[in-house]
Order: sequence, then structure tokens, then C-alpha cells
Amino acid sequence: MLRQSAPLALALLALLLHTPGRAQQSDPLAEYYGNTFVCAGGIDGDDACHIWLEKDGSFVMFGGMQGGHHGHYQVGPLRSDGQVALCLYLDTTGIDIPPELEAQHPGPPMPPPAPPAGSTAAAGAGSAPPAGPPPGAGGGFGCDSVNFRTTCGPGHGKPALDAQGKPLPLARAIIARFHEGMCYPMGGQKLGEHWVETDDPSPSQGGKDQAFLFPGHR
Amino acid sequence: MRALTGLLVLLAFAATSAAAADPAADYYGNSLLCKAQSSGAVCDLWLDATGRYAVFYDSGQKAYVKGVQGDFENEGRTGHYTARSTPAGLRLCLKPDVDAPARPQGHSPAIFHEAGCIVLPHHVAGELWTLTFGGETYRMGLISGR
Repeated sequence: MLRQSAPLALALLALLLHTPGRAQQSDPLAEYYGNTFVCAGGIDGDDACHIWLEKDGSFVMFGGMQGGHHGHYQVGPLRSDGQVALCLYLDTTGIDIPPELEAQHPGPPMPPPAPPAGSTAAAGAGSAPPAGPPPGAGGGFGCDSVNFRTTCGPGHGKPALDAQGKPLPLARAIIARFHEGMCYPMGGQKLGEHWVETDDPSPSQGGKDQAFLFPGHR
Repeated sequence: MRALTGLLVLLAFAATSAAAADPAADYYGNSLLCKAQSSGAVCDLWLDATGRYAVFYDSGQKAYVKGVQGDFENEGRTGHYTARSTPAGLRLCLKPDVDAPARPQGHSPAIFHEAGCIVLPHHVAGELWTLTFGGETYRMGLISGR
């Protein structure tokens, strides 16, 4: 019996040993690890974010957020278009920076005061990278995430307020939103690619984003 | 028993000395921020106990469209560092990862961008000071947290 089942056992062993390699090849985020994902405004090309995504579930994000910040992410189910919904959670709510060390232009311009109905990103049919940071301070503009999909717009989520109930400055509002979690479809691109996403939840850039995947940490 | 107590005291002393001997200990878990006084561009340097560092730059909004091969801003980089205490302060030597691209002319602050050494005066978290590097004056601050 043992002798008869040996070929089968060897075949199973070979399959097991081969599986990690195949799984790695099919990881839609494989090209992101150790490299730099950059999102920029679809209209003005302004840097909106840089993300260093790591395979261990952590990331570092910076750009328009007063320095870099650590975070962790969750990956949703693989979609038919080869992308996955990725929810990014910053581990911090920001640090207190003295005014004389603050960036003067920390990010893209504010969204229009009364944007249309909420727009969505992540698990749905469209694809959007961490596109411009979500609209920042002020008003009732917020975002909420359900089932790996983030929806931003008036009346969504909770506004980013400080302890006194005042709207947070833009950079801190962005950090607060990402602390709560922001989900975007990601993956499937190749290193060195530059592409345009058309369902950016940020209305300030016409709902579009430019996205880049650069080698190394930049 | 007396020998054991003596050993424990020695071990505790050794551990304390090792911690005190780490010249970069004040930087771990904190952020060294800089702001170039001429341009207003800012930077954020992280030193980790592993000998790795990361630095991020923000030179403000850029009203141009970039391309992968074009005039793209390099806003961050990583590498290894060594640190040594000197009478003038912490002598910090940075070696960016080999894949770190060169700084485009006129882009981010030059400080912490290329391989090289810099002396940072002794300061603790919460303190601000002024530093001159490469002909540029920077306002510096060691800020708690990241």
C-alpha cells in the first residue's frame, strides 16, 4: 500500500512545493512591494500621494500629509479585472508640528464647496488607485467604507474635526480619513507604468487621477 | 547568592550603558523635521534602531504633469546610516539605497538627500534649532511621534 501510494505522495509534495511560486505570480500587488506607487492629480499633475507598500501588510504613505506615516492594509477579494480592493489604514492620527516647520502647500487644492452626489472607489466595477487624497477639511464632506468600498461625499462618514469641533487643517484631515480607512482598487499594473484612473473619489481633479509605479523607494 | 546578585547588577549596568551609548536613541520613533528657509520646502527624517532610515520631502504643489521618464519629483528615499556622538553633536552618515535616483536640480531640499555626513547638534524631542547645510538655512525640529 505504501509503495503504491508513493508516486501520489510525491506528486502532492511537488504540487505543494510549487504552489507558493504560483501564488506569488498571481499576487496582483507583487509589482508594488518594495517600489513606489504615486498618485497625482488628473488635471494638474500635482503629487497627491506616495505609497511604499510591503508584502507583510504594512505601508508608508507620504505626500501632502506633513511627512511620512506608517500604516497597515487589508486586501479584499480578487476581482475579475485582476485588481483587488485595498483598504489603507494609517496607524497614526498625525503629529503636532510647530507652525514654523509646517509645509506651506500640503497637497492639492480643496474640492468645490458643494460637490455632487457621493462618488465611490474600490470594490466596484471601476478602478481607482489611492488617488488624490480624499477631500479635506471643512463642511460635511466625509467618507465611509463598507465591504472594501469607500464612498466619499456630503453626508458620508464623519467630518474630520479637532477636539474643539473645528474642521481639521487639510493635512490632518487627510491623515484622519486614512486612519479610519480608505479603500481603492489596486494591482495588476507593471513596474514603470503610468496610467489614468477615471473614478477618483476626489472631485477636485475631475474625478481622474494619474498613477505611476516607480522602482525603489522614491 | 552574593555572586548572583553581583552578576545581575553587572548585567543591569551593561544594559543601561548600552542604551546610553546609542547616540541616535532620541530619534527612534520620532521625526526630525526640516524646513528650507528660502523655498519653504520641508523634509521628515526617520532613523530606526535597525540602522535603516527614511526621508520624505514636500516641496509644495507642482503645477505640471509628470511622466515616468520625465521631470518627476523624487519625494522620498530610504537607506542605511551610521551615527556617532561627537562633541559638536550627532555625526550622522547616510548611504541611500542603490536604487535611489539623483535629486533633480531645484527640487526637494538637498539635506539628507545624497550620501554623506552631517553633524546634528544635540537636541531632545520638542526642541527647534537652525542649521546651515549646503548654503541653505534650515529650521529644524525633533518632533515626538511619526
